[in-house]
Amino acid sequence: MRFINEVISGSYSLIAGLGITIKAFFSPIATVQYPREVIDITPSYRGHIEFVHDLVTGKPKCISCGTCAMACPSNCITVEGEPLEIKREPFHATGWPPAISIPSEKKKAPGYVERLERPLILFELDFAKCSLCGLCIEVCPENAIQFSKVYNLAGYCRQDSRIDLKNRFEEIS
Amino acid sequence: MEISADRDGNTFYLNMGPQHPSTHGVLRVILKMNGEYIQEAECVLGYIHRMHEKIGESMFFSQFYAYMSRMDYLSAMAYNHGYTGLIEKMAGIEPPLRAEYIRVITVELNRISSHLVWLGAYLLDLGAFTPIMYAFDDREMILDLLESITGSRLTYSYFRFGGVCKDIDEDFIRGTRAFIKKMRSRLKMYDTLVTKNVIFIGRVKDIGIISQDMARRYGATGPVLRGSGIEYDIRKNEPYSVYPEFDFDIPTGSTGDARDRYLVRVAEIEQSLRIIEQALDRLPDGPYRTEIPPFIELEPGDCYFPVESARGEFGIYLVSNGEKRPYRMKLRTPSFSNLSLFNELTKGYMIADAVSILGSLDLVIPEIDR
Ligand code: SF4
Ligand code: SF4
Repeated sequence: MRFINEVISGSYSLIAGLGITIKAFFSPIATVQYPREVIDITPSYRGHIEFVHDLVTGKPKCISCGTCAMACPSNCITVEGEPLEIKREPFHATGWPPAISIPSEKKKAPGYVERLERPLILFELDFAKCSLCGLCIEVCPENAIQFSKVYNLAGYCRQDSRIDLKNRFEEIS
Repeated sequence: MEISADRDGNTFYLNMGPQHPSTHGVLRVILKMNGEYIQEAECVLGYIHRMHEKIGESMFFSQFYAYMSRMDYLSAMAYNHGYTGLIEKMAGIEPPLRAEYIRVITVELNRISSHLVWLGAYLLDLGAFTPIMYAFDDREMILDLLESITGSRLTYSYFRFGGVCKDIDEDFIRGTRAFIKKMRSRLKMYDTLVTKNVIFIGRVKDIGIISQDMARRYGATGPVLRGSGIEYDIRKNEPYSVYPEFDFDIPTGSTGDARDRYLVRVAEIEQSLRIIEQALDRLPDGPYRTEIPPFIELEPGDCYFPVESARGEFGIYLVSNGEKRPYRMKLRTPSFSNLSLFNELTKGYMIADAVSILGSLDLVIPEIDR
């Protein structure tokens, strides 16, 4: 009697399982054929960081202050700038050049701003160490960096993961 | 697996792992066998030790966010919650209510996705290949939802001191509601396909029975403890965040075997869905983040803050001496305690049952070694 019960319950659960498989067989396909079909990535996707394109000057907004390098938990950002210099530039109503202006009353000429500037020499990201935490982006005083949408990041050697953001920016623009 | 025989010829040693599909990572178990039966099971840890505690002590508080999600990669949100919760408690930061709700929603979604991975992988260990496909299909929906707000699919660093880094939008809410509806129907499907399957029942029923006393002795938490019938859940017993505002049950088992642990986890999926539903209904408007300086300092003192991750109690004990970096950080991870049951649990069982027991403990190795 026990044996018959087992056979019946066993066959029932087998058939119930097969029923689900058959149902899935006729349901829509859940996968995509990757290299031929690509699904859209979301707008909040985090690729490696890149410079924000400044709409006014067409240059990176970075003032090479180094805050991002200090905030990065993995020490993957290297920033180098030229020595500090005081620049006198015509003032754009749009807000460029940005905030760090020095208050020196007597030299002030109308329509001009003076600011401390450190032209950027090198901005290198070691992406192999980056954990995409987004801290560098949050601390940047100029909002000069953002996440890119690059996802094909395979390389042949460790050097491939070192990205020079300044060169990359110039190549793109 | 590697086999070496003892002198007397009856007992021999079997080396399971560190690269073995059923250990889910780099866990090595040295099994002392008598024929097909296990006499002794010694777990060897440390293959993926990364010194997270020490790293935490060498960093600014805000720099440690990203490391949290690398410990338990399956329920990273709960770990985020533990860390941000701790620092907020110590620094006296009050996150906005909306942020707390968003945290609960994302943590619970993450808990479901973690349980789904476990479900698929466990059945894969037991020799059933189909369920992992369904489980990953459902999990994909969660990952898409979380990716749309956090930008990452697995190792989220979404929480910040004083809130979350991005607000949720209408699309996310709509998608989550659709997911809840779908998941409810899928739970019925899992019930037919897995829970009632005779082969599955044969593999898990009365296997690896953890008595209440044993669970207490080893400090087991999470579904492993609740499977033995002890109603202990940090979300209820030591409430944090806005959990007291929600109505949910703590599912428990009766005998404490592998099947009970399975049932508890599946029931937890339903409870998480309930929490998410309530949180979406009551989601308050307002800011999602209070701005605080990026490099904060804490008052001297110490604090322990536990949260309920998908695997049990995760807690951080932090000692601050008033500097920008912690003086000491201790992480209590659930899988470490849960794994310590393994030796006593497997004595006298066959090797195929050891795989079933190991799977039912739901271990994540990077979290054990951390
Ligand atoms: S990217 Fe921002 S934080 Fe980094 S150096 Fe440039 S301006 Fe400073
Ligand atoms: S995302 Fe995080 S780890 Fe990556 S460069 Fe920025 S701060 Fe460093």
